[in-house]
Amino acid sequence: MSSTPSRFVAYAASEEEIERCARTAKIGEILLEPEWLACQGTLSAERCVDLARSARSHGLRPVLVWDILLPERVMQSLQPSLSSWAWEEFAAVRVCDIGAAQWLRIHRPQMPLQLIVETGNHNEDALRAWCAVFAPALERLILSIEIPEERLIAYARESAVDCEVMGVGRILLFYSPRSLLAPKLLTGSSLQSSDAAGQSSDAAGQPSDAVGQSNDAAGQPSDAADQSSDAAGQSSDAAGQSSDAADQSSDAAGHKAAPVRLEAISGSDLSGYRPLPVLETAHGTFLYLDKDQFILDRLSGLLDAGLWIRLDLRHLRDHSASIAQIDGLVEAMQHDATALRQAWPRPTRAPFFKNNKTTAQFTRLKANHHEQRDEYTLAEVVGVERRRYVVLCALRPFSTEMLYALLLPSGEEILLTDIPIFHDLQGVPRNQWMTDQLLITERIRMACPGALLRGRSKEETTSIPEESPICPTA
Amino acid sequence: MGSVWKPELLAPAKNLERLKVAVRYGADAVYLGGQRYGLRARADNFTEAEIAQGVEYAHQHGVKVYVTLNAFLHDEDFVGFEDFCRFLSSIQTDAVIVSDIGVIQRIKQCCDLSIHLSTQASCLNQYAAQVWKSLGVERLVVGREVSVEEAGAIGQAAEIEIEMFVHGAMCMAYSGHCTISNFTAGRDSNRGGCLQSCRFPYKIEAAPSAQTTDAQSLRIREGLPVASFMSSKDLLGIEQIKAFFVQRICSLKIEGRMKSSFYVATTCKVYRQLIDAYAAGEWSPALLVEARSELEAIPHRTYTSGSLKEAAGEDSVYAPSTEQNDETHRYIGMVLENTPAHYIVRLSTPLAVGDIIEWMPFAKPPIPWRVPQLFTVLGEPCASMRQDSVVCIPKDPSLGHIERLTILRIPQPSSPQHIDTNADNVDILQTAETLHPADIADSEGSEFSDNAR
Repeated sequence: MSSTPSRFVAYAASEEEIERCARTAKIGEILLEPEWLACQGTLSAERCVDLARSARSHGLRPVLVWDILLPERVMQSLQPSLSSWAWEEFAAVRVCDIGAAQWLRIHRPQMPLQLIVETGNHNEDALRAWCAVFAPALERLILSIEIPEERLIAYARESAVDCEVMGVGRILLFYSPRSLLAPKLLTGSSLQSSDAAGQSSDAAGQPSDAVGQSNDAAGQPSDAADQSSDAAGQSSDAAGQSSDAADQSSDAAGHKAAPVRLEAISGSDLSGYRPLPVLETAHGTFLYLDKDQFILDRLSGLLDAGLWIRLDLRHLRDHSASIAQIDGLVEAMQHDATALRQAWPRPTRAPFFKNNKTTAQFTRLKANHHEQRDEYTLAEVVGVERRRYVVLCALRPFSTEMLYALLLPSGEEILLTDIPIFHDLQGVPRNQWMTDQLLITERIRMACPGALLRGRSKEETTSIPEESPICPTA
Repeated sequence: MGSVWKPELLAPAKNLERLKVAVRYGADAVYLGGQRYGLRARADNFTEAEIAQGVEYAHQHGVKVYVTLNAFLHDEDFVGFEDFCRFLSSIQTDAVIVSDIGVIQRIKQCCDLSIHLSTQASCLNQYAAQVWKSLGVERLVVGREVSVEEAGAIGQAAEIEIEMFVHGAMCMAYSGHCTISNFTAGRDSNRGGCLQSCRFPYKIEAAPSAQTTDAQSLRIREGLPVASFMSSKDLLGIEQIKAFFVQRICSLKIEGRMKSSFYVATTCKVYRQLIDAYAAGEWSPALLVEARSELEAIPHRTYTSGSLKEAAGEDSVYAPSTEQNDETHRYIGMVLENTPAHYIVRLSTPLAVGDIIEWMPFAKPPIPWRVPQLFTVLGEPCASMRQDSVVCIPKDPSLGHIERLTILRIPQPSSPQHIDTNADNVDILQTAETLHPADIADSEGSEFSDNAR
């Protein structure tokens, strides 16, 4: 571990956190989250720029996090602020919305780009394609923790740009632009004030004149809000607390949002009452797993392949343990990563690090005979009156000589030794049937709605399995 | 003078029967899934033989067919993918619906299928639209978070076709940005295994670390009842028909690839009538009232316009414990065949002599009708017939021409106790107790979310 290069990334929201990052020598860059562009952002615009400058002075690369998704109205409302934003203060920008990446390609083509491809993009073709689309500005792909180690290593080795994966942190399960906690958690009067505030502005904490042009939907100068936000940021960032209410009352997604960051625990009996953390910010509602992703004790292969590792301690900012601080974490990781896992303040897991079997259950989710509805499937049972008659609907033209077996919804195949006599609705026996025509016969043993009558395929003609049950017909 | 421009009406098809129902009830196009590569692991889905049959049937009626390839695939999922795409191309599938840029690349390498971008990709703005267009995408199914006006602006700015969901269940999360099933149940929601955890009732408690600002005297509730807070109401787009025309939204999509023929027939018929009426200058408030009434007939959650007009607010959250939204009608069955003397009907629920049912002709208003007699397929009279049976109903000249695939329904008693969810036939018993009848429509399985698309 001691010989690994500085390929660790961490979040910072205060001078203290930057100093801690700089102290470790393992942290190559820091992620700065302004409230107006980042899902979990707490930094005012000015504060974010100040911290970027501070990071540079400490030899760290400051990376701007712009990870909100951007419905058109939000994109439009952000344009003035984006145009005048202090991009030069940042070494790179990390985006999630493809539209944000495209905006940068057009308006800031020289700005190094880090693309979050954690949702989907679980294949080499996708990663290669994104590299081609956003070259040459693209410097890094942020990969999904649903990709197993073996593939992560392969991607990192084959990718035209650097790759990164989360080494430790809270696992995001759900991102909605809607305000889902405030209506539940806040009392009537608080909610009303939340609504009133939410309507008063549009884009959360957009930069003021000090950094860029102020612009909010209500046409009100945002300096006051930004100043108070900044003050709140200074006073509370170290503790990871939320920013000032005036700043938080806005809503970048155009939704009525809570005026504060709200956090809750949600659990359902139907999923074993796992206590899932929920966070609501001005950008929407976020649900997390009750356990942290943790692979810090299994990094050697990833580091050898050149992957960047993200250390996300944002949810532990109130925690007193030394390993909840970045310098303490890195030190513990270098000393004994296994012990670090055992000492971690929250339950840990890495469910897909060795393999991803999230499709394994699919075969049990539907009737077994569905995939066998091929050109040899001739008719479907649509009605059964026990010991009296069976009604079938022809799925394609056929003659009764072609009939071979009855395929039950369970997948069991019942061979027809004697071909039943079928008649039409007028009671006329027939051998030839047209698509959608109804057939009636007295009995087919085990027939049930949904069962399929099948004809012979080449294989079935040449080898009829002896163990197959035989179906006597009336 | 050329015909008036109209948006396409795009309907879901779980299987061949639904496809034919959609076609007969007015869809301009249908979308369906094959056995793999889509987002409906639980659906029976179409085999290749059935897709070929479906395309042939649809094209005979001037209807287009789009096939969903909208799972986020892992490398190992691509086995057989190119062969399947070449097959789809060979049978003249009109387009495929894709979420994953890697899938797009594979398609472009092996065939010339038209590509539509699934809503699962959450394309939300004109800059993203530019990127997808540059990758060969011909149509965008934009995220449900954008309004009709925004969608129109995206289409205009990027010069690309825009499709929007207009009706049905929807995700609360940004599409493609929910992995609850993946991490809590080991089922990949973005490869077809969504467990609908967002529909569960949850107990919510303010976190010990919750930060609030005393400056605004905010008060946190305590002792909150168990309730759903991530469950979205169902989308209803009938009031935006004019906006769809004005913004030139090229396709209006109905959600529900696992829903019943009753649902498909009703939604197709209603939106067909609204689109045609607006195009013909025959739009009226009364028509809207009638449409709303018809859409109350099918199983659904409380309706919302979602973000079609403005960003969805807190009233878009579905609260099953407090909202009465039971369907006004129940699905009885479908006409399978006509003989000179009888309509032959496949029953999904029991039917008895004396029941007052309603026939749903493809384009005309429903016809209330008392069942005078019933016969078995052997011609024997019977007083009633159970579900999952075939029954013969004597023909009545006053009904006019009742065609094959015509749907029958019966007015529902208002009591929720009368809802027959038929849970025995639901193949996901694990969550059946949490399901809304909308999701167990006529014992045909369920449909909850965007992973529907």
